[in-house]
Amino acid sequence: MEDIQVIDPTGRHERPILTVVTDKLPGPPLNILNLPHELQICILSHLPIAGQIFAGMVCRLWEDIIVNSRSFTKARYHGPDENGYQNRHKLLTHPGGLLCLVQSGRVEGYCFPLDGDDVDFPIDYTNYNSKILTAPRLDIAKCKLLDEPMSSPFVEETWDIQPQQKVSTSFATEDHD
Amino acid sequence: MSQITLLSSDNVEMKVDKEVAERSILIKNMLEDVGETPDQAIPIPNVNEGVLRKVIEWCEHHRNDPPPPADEDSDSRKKSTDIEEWDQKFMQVDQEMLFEIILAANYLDIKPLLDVGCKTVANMIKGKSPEEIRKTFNIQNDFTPEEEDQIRRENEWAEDR
Repeated sequence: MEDIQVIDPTGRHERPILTVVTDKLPGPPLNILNLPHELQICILSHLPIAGQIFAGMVCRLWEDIIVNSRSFTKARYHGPDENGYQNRHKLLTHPGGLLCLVQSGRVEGYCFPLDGDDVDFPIDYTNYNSKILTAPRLDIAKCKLLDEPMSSPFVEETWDIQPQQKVSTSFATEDHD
Repeated sequence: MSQITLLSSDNVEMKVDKEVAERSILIKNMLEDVGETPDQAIPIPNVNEGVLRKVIEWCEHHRNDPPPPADEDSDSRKKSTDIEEWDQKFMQVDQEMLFEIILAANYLDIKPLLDVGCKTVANMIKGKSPEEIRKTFNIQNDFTPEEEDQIRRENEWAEDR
């Protein structure tokens, strides 16, 4: 792109009085935090609960998006029709489980696996057992998502979920060694 | 097959099939407003040559895809790792280009490309500790020291392993 030059209208200066360099200057590399917020929200919304927890500890902006925005909060609960786990917080149904670290009879921390996708119902315990049990875990004791109610506060609202086939109630106890 | 010319922000002209360019809803609406195939190049002021070429490459490959469903359902949320193989390869670019593609897809209104881009970044976040995420994306930790205590505890946990 050509530079824009402003010529002195009075003619007193022969050289242009102002030159606007229109080429894009090689500024600092584009950082994810410089993306428009709605795009960062779009990115973070693709994370399963495990990813949301740890992304929420990265910086204030992401914590705010993940902890405080309503669409994120709502998506952290299962729908009302899954038998046995209805309206449950996804923290509780994550295949890795939320483990308490107990020292001298006191809960000192809550450790949660770094990875793993949210589960669908009915839960298939056979596939993830060994993988998820050996996955790295971090303490999330100060994670604000732990303060959220275990059951959905949104049940009164319309869920747009069609009544589903009833799921066998026995799934939660099978193959859970 | 009628063709149109796009003009990148750095003044490079590119000929593309109209059908391919119309993967961009912005361009599609623009062409509909004009009514006929324009002779002049359509300026795309926010997208430079390199990025525009990548975007066109994606549109070429996906020219026959069915249009995305009008209303987005929240189920796509949990399927974050599902990116088709060609798209995965396509997205193997440096971070800056990846963000440029996301910005361009947003500006040009190419929803499926925007989705693939956002999912790719989400996959780069998944499975990492907060510190690893900061390193990956060069993010400054802006929590206070008390909040920082949390981070230290995390690291202790990590070292125990």
